[in-house]
Amino acid sequence: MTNAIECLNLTHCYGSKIVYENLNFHVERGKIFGILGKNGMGKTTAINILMGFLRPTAGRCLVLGEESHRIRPETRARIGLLHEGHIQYDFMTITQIERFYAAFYPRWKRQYYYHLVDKLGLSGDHKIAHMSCGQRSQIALGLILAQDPDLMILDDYSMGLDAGYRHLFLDFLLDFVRTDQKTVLMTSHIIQDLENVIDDAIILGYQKLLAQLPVSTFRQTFHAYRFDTPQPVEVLRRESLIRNIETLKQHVTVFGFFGVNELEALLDKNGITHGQITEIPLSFEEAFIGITGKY
Amino acid sequence: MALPENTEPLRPLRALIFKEWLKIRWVLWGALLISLGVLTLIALEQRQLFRNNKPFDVWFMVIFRRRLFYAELRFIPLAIGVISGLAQFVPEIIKKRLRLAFHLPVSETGLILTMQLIGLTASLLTSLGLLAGLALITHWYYPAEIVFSAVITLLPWLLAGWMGYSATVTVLIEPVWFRRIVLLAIYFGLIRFFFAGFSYGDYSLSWGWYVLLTLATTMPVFLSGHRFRRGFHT
Amino acid sequence: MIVRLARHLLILLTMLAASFYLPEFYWQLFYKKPIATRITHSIIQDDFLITRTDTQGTTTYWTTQGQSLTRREYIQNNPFLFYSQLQRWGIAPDSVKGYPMRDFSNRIHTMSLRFDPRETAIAQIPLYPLLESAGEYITLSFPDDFFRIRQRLEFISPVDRSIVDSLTIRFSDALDAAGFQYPAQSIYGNPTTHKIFDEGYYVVDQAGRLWHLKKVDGKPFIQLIELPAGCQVQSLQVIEHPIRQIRAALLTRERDYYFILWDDYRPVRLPLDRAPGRPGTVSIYLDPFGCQLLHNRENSTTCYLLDRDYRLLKSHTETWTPRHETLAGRVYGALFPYSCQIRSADDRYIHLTLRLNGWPALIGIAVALLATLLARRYYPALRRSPIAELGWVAVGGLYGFIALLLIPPDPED
Repeated sequence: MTNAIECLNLTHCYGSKIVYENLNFHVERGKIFGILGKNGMGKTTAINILMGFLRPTAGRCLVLGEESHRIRPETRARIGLLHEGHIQYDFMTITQIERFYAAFYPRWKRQYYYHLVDKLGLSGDHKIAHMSCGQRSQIALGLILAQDPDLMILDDYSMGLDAGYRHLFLDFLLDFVRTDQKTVLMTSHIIQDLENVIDDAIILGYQKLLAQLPVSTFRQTFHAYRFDTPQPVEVLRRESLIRNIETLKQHVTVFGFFGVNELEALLDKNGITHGQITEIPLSFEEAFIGITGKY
Repeated sequence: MALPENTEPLRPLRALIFKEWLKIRWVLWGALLISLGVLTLIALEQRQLFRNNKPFDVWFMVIFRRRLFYAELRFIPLAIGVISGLAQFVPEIIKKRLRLAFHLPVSETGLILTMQLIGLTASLLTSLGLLAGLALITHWYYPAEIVFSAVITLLPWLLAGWMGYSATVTVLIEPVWFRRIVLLAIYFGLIRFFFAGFSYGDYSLSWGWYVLLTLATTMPVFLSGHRFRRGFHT
Repeated sequence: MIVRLARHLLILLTMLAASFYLPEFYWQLFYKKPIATRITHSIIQDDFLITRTDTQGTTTYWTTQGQSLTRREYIQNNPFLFYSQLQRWGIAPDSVKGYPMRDFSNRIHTMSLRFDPRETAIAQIPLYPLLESAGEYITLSFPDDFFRIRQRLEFISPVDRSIVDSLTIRFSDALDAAGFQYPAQSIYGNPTTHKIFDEGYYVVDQAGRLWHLKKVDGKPFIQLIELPAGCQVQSLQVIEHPIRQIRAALLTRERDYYFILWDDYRPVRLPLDRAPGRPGTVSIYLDPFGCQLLHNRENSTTCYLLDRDYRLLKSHTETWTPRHETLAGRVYGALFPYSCQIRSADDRYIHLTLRLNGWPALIGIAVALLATLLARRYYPALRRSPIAELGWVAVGGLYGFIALLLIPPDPED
């Protein structure tokens, strides 16, 4: 079995509000997979469904080969889960929380935890409740690394963290993951950090999947072009290749999976006269905004 | 920080007990202090009574005026039960921390059972402490008949404490507000049964049924836990 | 499976709570207290007089022929009962049917008391003070000890909880000699010094025999009371009244009322109704001409006029529609298949019992079943409920319907 996670025809609604419909994706073993999207697009919902904390309206998910709402305890021992906000037992101290979790995981490696936690420079009886967001994130990450899981699921690892702690988190994570071929599923809305981290991604939009592809492919095939035209360009939204259009007076920027030739052909097809077409180089974050839209 | 010495790793059950102990220890110490305090008050009051009145008159007041000299204990077990439940599960409900426990590699039923048993055991120990304390004080001044009467009168209040704990836990874990209100109404209505009497021995003929009722009310927490686990919102 | 069990237990608990509170609310909304009725026998009119008090507190007075009386007339027709009032008005008779009223005193020549079996059906710490019945002072005083009857009759000192051996041996030996079988099943008395004299206690031994026990000059007085064969005492009220005609009123488990007469301890069976239902309370009134017993039951009150030998002369009964036969009661019977009760009309304990409401409840159950089937069409959560869960409604009627509405099955079930 090559896939650590499989979601088949996943549909979920909150009341009458559809979050997604017939969503299909899989996460290959040994890969780092990102569920990307703006706030409210269903990233945490997907995590909750995968971990059995939410029952989908339709469809099914398999995690390490088991139905997500019926994962056996032995299998849960192989899954490291980071909840949004790095939630942990605040009433415990650094030492107490390690001792608590160590009881449940046969592969527990306390040196991973203390290697990370040492860097905080705090004593073992320092309470987690008295730590900053960044410090808590290290505790949470340390606990997951010590668990030595086969699969790590990280829900919005970046929440509340400044750039320094975000990079620290990713550095440790990557070092751990690449060494032992772990599988990671992570969600985030801070995109700029993830370009050199995630292998594959799905990008969620409002009630639909915007893209599902390796990050490298996304970077290579998703482009933005700018041109001037006095004509309205709304007709271009019908074209499936065009994912987004931004207009400012007569300046138009289009985003999509196409080259300049294909764009020219689309403009001609729709009778849009235009000036020179210029490609706009995109960072990963800009490409993400380009496909999801600013609003 | 140096790596802590290699201590014997905890077993899962002990780890859970450890976690719950961290949350409720202050409540238990507080319960112990309050119980000691109230029992001391009762003992001192009895001492004064016997000093300032004929012992016959004091016994007569207890037996025939039906004066409950331990009436201060009436709501203490209930308060301890509710506060224990709050101390144990409010930290779990904030930011849905209970998901941490549900992700542990233990069965859902086993987890809830263990957490509840720990709380009930703590409640039981404080109740037994109250019972023993009252029995001791009563035995100092009164014959066995009055000691027995005090114990049998205290029993429904202790049962109310355990039901109060179960009620608190079941309501807190339940994820849907409407259902919480329903549960609160049901448990409140049932707990009132335990305070319907105002004299000694009122529950002498029915205490067995009330024990069964108390045991039955410890079960719905599994439903609330399951609903929390599955993320139900209706 | 444990989750399913938890849900079903929760349904049961919901039904239990509903079966207590809904009937209570129902009666608070719809119950109208019947008019309070009291009957006395007028020696003047040689007829029963009826007093009716409505819920507003207005009292009217009637003869059995339906003739109304004023309050003054009512009082005048009951001279023994209201002699002081007649004296106040200056119209107190010199004699009543030949009985001279010159030295009449209600305190000495009449006796009025109420016998409620429920009053003794209460948890009682079995320790009692045995007063001296023949003390040298006019006022009574408590002893320095309490007695209990376990495997012997023991006197305990409250000072140090020690056994008072002298009294214990003396009284236990006397009971042994009389044939008393330990331990006592029940002990009835009137432990107070606010009475004119003390007659000790009436004790039912292990064999069910009734004994009279008192302390006279420090010595035990024990008297076996021969009740009719098969009689078992359920409740007893000690009567210590200067009129000295009756020692005690008792109710047996067979629902018979008896007086234990003063002079010879003879039990006299009272001609009270043995109809099924709660025994009710009995108000006893003795006057120079005989005895009136007012037997109050759930939906009737009967006044029995007895002669001085406690033989029935005549009686009169007033009835009213019992609660369950009023319109509200009939609807109640159909609506609620049972009710949870924590109190009993028979005693003062706290219980936890279910009282069934009888066959009319089948109507309510049928309606509730229909309502449930209808609700399943319009209430998505209830649609998930398997048909078998209608069993809750079949058993609990309205309670089951409410419980299923409040605790429907979850999507996974």
